[in-house]
Amino acid sequence: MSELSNGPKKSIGNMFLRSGIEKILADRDIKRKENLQLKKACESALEELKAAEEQDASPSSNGEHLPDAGGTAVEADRYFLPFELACNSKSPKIVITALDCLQKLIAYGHLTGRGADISNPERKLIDRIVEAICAPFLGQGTDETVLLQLIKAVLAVVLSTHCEVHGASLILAVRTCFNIYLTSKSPINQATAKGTLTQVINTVFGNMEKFGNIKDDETIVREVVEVLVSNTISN
Amino acid sequence: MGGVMSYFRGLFGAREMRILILGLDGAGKTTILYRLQVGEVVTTIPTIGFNVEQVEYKNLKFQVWDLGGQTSIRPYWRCYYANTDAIIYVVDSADRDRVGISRQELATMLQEDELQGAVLAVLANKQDIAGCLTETEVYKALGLDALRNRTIQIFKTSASKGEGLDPAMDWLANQLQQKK
Ligand SMILES: Nc1nc2c(ncn2[C@@H]2O[C@H](COP(=O)(O)OP(=O)(O)OP(=O)(O)O)[C@@H](O)[C@H]2O)c(=O)[nH]1
Ligand SMILES: [Mg+2]
Ligand SMILES: [Mg+2]
Ligand SMILES: [Mg+2]
Ligand SMILES: [Mg+2]
Repeated sequence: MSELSNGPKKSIGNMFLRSGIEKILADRDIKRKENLQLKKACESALEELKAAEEQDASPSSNGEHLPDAGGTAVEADRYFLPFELACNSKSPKIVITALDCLQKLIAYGHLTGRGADISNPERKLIDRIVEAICAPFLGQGTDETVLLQLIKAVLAVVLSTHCEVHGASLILAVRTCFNIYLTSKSPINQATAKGTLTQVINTVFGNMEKFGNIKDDETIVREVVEVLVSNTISN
Repeated sequence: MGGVMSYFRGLFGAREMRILILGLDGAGKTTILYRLQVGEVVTTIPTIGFNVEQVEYKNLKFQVWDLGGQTSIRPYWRCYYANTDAIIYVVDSADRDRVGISRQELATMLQEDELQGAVLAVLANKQDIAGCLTETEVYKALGLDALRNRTIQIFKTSASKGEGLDPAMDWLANQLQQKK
């Protein structure tokens, strides 16, 4: 087994980004016509990423390093588009890769979604991120490996202290977990969805106590619980 | 490959074995997961959700789950117990102060009905740290001698040096194949 290299510290965020995008590009389904936009988005993200890495590696003109140099984290928020498109692709393998990568970027704090959504300044990027994560759930019959990666990513984004998931996005996250719990045929996914739901709801309540009554979230939890109850009854 | 063949394989035999890695925070669980998966030491951060990776070892496939060990997260371990074939319980051998807590968490866990059939590998990790508890000391401190009715084995490991993990995986693979 290999030892840790002592070379310049590579940002783990860049590593996840690169390997995620490269893996999507290496998938045989990427050649399908319907994935053309995804392919282009991956290629241009990869180019930008390489350029950014090279810039980090070279000292600036006055011989000093850029402010962030040495383990610089490329802001992953800029590279979100390929993952969003990948989450909406019809190829389960591409979706799985994208969700796995999103979870790692989020857990390590590289993808925060704090900024505004450029395509719709009314919203924050985090709302688009949560939407992308939940998009692969297509009801009963969704690929079970996709579901597992989806649950893993939902848990990461809601629990991450770097991300703030509130309002409609929080409802979407909770509802998706609950629907997976109801419709999955895999006992492991059912149990995982249930565990995730429990941890998410406890965390939301915990945050409400810790940071004072975040009114918004209290309403949401109440609404979610109502949805859950009515869903269960009608099932 | 034909769809029919993979269908039959799915029905008989090739089920992926499910392994949970548990233990107190900082014991080295995530480090171990990625040592097993990619053979390298990765930078870790405290786990608050879960990690799950497919690990191939000697032509066997395992689905390995790594849960967070912080006090506030331990209550969620039980959500993951169902359908578990094996547990890798990791102890920080250099954390003498908390080995008692680790013992309690292990005892609580082993009482769960859903885990009665699970094989248990205990890893006395961080053996590279000077002055740490030896394998025998960890065995005693965890009260493992009282667990003779279970399939259980202790191993000394250093996840950061990549030492001791192969014997543990060999043993687990053997035990799980016998169970099948
Ligand atoms: N010296 C030494 N350090 C180790 C070893 N294994 C892990 N570590 C270090 O211990 C720290 C915690 O490791 P993690 O793998 O993140 O611990 P964890 O059990 O996943 O912790 P939680 O996710 O909080 O439950 C990291 O700094 C690791 O590099 C080891 O064998 N020896
Ligand atoms: Mg959060
Ligand atoms: Mg961990
Ligand atoms: Mg993976
Ligand atoms: Mg310990």
